[in-house]
Amino acid sequence: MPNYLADNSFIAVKPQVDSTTAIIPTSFIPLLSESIRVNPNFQANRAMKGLSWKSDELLKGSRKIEGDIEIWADPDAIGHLFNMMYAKTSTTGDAASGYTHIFDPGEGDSYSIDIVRGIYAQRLWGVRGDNIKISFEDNKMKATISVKALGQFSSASLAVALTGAAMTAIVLNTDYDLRPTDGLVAGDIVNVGGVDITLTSVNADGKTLGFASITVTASANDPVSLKAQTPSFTALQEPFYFGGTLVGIGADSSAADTAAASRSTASPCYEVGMELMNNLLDQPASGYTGAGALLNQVKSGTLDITRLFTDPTQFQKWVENVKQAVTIITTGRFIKTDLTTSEMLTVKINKTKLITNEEPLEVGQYIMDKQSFEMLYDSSDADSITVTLVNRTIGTDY
Amino acid sequence: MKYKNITNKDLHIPNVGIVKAGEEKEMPKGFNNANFKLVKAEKKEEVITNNK
Repeated sequence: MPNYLADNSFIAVKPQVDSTTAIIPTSFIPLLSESIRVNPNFQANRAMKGLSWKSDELLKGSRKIEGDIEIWADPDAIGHLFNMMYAKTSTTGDAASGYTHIFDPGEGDSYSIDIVRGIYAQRLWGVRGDNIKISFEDNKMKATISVKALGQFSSASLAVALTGAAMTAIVLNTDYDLRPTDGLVAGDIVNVGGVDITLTSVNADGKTLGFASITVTASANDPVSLKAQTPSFTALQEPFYFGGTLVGIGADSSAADTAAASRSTASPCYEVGMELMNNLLDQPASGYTGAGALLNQVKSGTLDITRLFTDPTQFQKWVENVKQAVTIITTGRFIKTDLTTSEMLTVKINKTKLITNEEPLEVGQYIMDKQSFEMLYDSSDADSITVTLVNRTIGTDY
Repeated sequence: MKYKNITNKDLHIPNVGIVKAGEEKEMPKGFNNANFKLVKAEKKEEVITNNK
């Protein structure tokens, strides 16, 4: 039997028109790692039935599909992650100068995501971002998004045997889910009995797939798997770099913007990282084995900065609970050929306050301000955070 | 089989190379990508002449 190296994997993503209608993903993103798992929450059946053994069967619990996707944060790919987290409010610009996308903390798009595992793909649908972590690893910006999904299709089994010539439909077993075909769409290719079959319809009954007449033979309970796509990449972008990142800190957002505008006014930082949380609720719903919807709860965020200690100003701001606004601008490669526009990620945090400001002392080490900020809603700006991304991706892709 | 890049972007296919927007290219067996459409071979019409 063949074996498969994970290096041949990747993910493909596309925003859905609504939370429940899957779509074939068309944007391919190189992957650092992923840990998305389907958890049917199997538990031993502890009913009393005359046994001296714990149980003779497992029963399904409430299903969860969740996990992490980790990528280098290149200007195009990170747009999809922010679009899963927040609402894109506008796109302006053009191909020559670059497109400017603005993301505010509203409801992000639901996505279909294909994760390639060897010869088959796992199609997650109704995927939303639960939280995103931005960090830097050896100068490169890394994004890790924790996602939740409403459902998935990867492999199922035949309920009814296929007997040879002129087959036009497949009926799937319902042991995993009463609607095992959810997540598949016309145009997908499934493999059954060693034959690739292009779907022409996905029946509303949730278990029948239609296709043009074909000769295929397979027994009941044989596997039916989603065929992995061949990846196609646009010109691969470099990730954003720590070296292109300026952190502006000021009394308000205007002062923070000014500070972030140049290296001379920005605050030199040793490390910068942030986490934005949607705190999604898996809404249980009758008719669904897992979540029926992924609902927003209150959003929040934290910002961690480590910088060389110079004076006790930050200690004072911590203990006196003083507001600080932070604007982080990361500039990437140029877009316009005259170098007047560049890829750029701007995270504007209107109000933060220090949860902790540690200045640990270690022999032989410079003293650092190790700071953890809570991102807060700013009543005077009537805003909390705005993410602005300039890249080469046309607005219709998000 | 020949496939057409139906996007407006040049796309890089591993082990194939760059396929320009709108370009048609012969792809390896098993190729499957939603950014491409299979180009169906045109049927050659048989012209029957009745030369008497």
